[in-house]
Amino acid sequence: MADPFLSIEAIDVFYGPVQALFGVSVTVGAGEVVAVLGGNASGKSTTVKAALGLVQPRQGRILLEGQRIDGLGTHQVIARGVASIPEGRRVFAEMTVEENLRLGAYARRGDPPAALAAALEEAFGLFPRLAERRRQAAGTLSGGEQQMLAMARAWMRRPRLLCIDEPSMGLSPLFVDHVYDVLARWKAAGLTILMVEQNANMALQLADRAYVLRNGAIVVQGAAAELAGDPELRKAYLGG
Amino acid sequence: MIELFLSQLLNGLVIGSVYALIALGFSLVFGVANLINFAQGALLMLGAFFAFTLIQWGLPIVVAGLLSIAATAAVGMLVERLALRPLRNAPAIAPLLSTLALAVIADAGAELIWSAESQPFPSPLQSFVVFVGGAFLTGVDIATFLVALAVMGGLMLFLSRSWTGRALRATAQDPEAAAQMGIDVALMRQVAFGLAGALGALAGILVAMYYQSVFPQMGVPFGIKGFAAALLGGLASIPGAVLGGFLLGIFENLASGYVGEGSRDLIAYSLLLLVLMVRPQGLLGTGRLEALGGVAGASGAIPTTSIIASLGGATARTRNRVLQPKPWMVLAVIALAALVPAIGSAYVVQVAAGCAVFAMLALSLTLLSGSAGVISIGHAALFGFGAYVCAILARNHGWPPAAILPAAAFGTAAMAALATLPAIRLTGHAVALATLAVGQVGYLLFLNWIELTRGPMGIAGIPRGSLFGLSMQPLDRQYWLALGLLALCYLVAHRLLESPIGRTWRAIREDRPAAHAAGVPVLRYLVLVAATSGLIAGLAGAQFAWLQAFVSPDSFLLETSIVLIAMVVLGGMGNIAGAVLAGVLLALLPEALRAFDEWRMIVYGLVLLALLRFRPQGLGGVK
Repeated sequence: MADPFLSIEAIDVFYGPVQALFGVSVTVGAGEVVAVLGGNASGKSTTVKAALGLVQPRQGRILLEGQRIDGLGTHQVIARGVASIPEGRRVFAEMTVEENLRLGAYARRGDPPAALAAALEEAFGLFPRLAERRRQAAGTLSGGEQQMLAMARAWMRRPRLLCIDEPSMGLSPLFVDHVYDVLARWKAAGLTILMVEQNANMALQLADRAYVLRNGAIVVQGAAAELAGDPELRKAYLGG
Repeated sequence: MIELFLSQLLNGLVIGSVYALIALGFSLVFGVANLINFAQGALLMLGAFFAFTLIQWGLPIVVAGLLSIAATAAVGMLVERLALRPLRNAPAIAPLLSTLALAVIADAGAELIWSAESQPFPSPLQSFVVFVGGAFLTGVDIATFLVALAVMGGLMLFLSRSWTGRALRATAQDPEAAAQMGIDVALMRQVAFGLAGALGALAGILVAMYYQSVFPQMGVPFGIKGFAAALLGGLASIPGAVLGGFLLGIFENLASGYVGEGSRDLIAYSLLLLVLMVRPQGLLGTGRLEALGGVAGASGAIPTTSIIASLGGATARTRNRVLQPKPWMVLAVIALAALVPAIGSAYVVQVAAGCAVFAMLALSLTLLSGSAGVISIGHAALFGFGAYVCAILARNHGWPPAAILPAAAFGTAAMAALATLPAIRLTGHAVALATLAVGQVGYLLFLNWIELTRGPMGIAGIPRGSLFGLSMQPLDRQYWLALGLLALCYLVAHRLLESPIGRTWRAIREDRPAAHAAGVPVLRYLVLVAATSGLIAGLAGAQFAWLQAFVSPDSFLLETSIVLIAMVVLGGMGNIAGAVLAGVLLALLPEALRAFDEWRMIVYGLVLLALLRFRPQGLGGVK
């Protein structure tokens, strides 16, 4: 843990007059999967949004590979090798599946077309359901299929850090398993992942380490295996 | 017969292709920035003038045209910088008004630089004529049509095939998700405005060649037409803009061929209203998935129905200190104002009376647009209706003021309720468009119903009569009557807004679906607010007719409606004291700026821009 890939250091984030994060620090080492857990309005989504530059911290700093990225725009953060699977999937509903995937590779638009075409075929290999619906508008897909598309779209970025906000939200248990299968494969391939999840049980099976947030502050952190039985985790969700 | 049809059809295709170019500019900006860019007409005018100057410098027309297109694209980006970017957290209506302010500045600036007169524009292909059946086309017609078609095709390819084009569409559909793909969303907005500028310039040059002349006022009518075409097709839809442009061009040419030239615009706007009532999302607005704007631009476009929410979707986070004086304070100020004749000249009293009329109009519109959230860019038509009712009854039928006042008030109230019906089911930008069309239809009726309104000559010599045995001839008495009516209307509006009715209006403004769900009979409340607003506007109109002793369509142009909505925003949406204050200030401003002479409108636009920039919640604060 000498040189974390991503390091969020004591950030405070405000929405107007409301403070959402109080000195939150999170580190993600290279090749590590880190989960940020917590109940509603605990600030877990805000943590990932700060890393992506979607919200700006008022205090503290954020480092990616030792370089400060707080204050950068989201597109600049993405340009540094980050990809995002947004909360609620946010596929481009009126574009085709293929166009969505191509947009996922927007940050790689300088790459040779052949490499992008190959990546597209790999993505379809990874998610055969998407290949069948390649020319279909993304908005006509089911929720689970849209989640597949959002994942494939982020994968098109070839990221070195993947940020995921609530991958299991609104999905049937079967699809949740599918999502976590794919994430486990990516982890095995060495991808660095920062994820936010309400479904603590699923997240702790995948993650190496986890942080638990309550009311915008970290209440407990540690190895995923140890956290699973921690009473603080239950309290964070039950509000006790 | 078939010759006429064919010739009007061909003319319609040519002019329709120009409308389509303008509409594309609107659609691109609307999709990506969620903003109706009222400066689009000004961009068109500037493009034509840039080309005009470059040709005067001796450049060949094609080179001049290309340079002008590049220059106007840069001006378009500047519009984004000045009108949109500083106002991201302001109420959604603020950027729209700020593009209007820029249009005012551009029009006045063009008059300063190039003179207000029409000047000849070279049109080398005009003498080249091709016969198609019994109809003929000039070289300019053919060139216009082909260039427009080629540009549209190129734009489609650009949007569907290039990285930047796809990024533009992604930004239009979901800016936050687009940013997470690595797309520089702010840059995309700028690109959209640049493209709108380029398309506007091209349209401007084609229009100038078509009419073989350039003049500073050319931007407004073509801007409105392009806007209408964009909405006809579905505001955010790129194919829709093209379809809308061609349909509008063909329809209005057929109308002018078969019904007469005067009916051209009347038919165009009536068609627009009809489309809005039957298919508010436009012809290709929803359900067509290749549309540019998609979910965000389908119908309402503003994520909440609230007009005071910012473009970001969240309610404005700027601090909102609300000016809300007690009614007696406002009455005391009005009473003080009654002393003006004792100290001022007749000119001062005339100006003060004008202020009272505009204060009433601002009050009337802030009920409709501010409190109930039905943005109206056609209020001048109601104002005009009241004025014409007064003029016709007083002059042609010799009615006394005591009979005219209720006739103008209730007549306009009924008219307002009727005129608002097409807009009432709509939300967001579609409302603005429907009211714009209603306003234009009103203006065109004043202009073209010559037997009743005497058309552009106007009605002169309107007698003031006598009220309760008092001759109303002296200006001072007219002024006091205006103040009295203002005080009365203010009290009524205040009572209404403090009552459950006012609360319901605000609830409808904040969240119409929620109001529906809570069991509020929304339509009834909206008709009520429209009628109340019309009642006050009718009184203001009658007062205006007596004060001027003359009415003509020129007083009820689109510009008047725009000034009125600016008063509402500057006063603070739904804040009646603020509206009265802003009404007085904006009515005074042109008088105060007389010293600036021909710079007057430029300064006016700058003041408007500065107010929107530094106090977007209005002088009085949103209520």
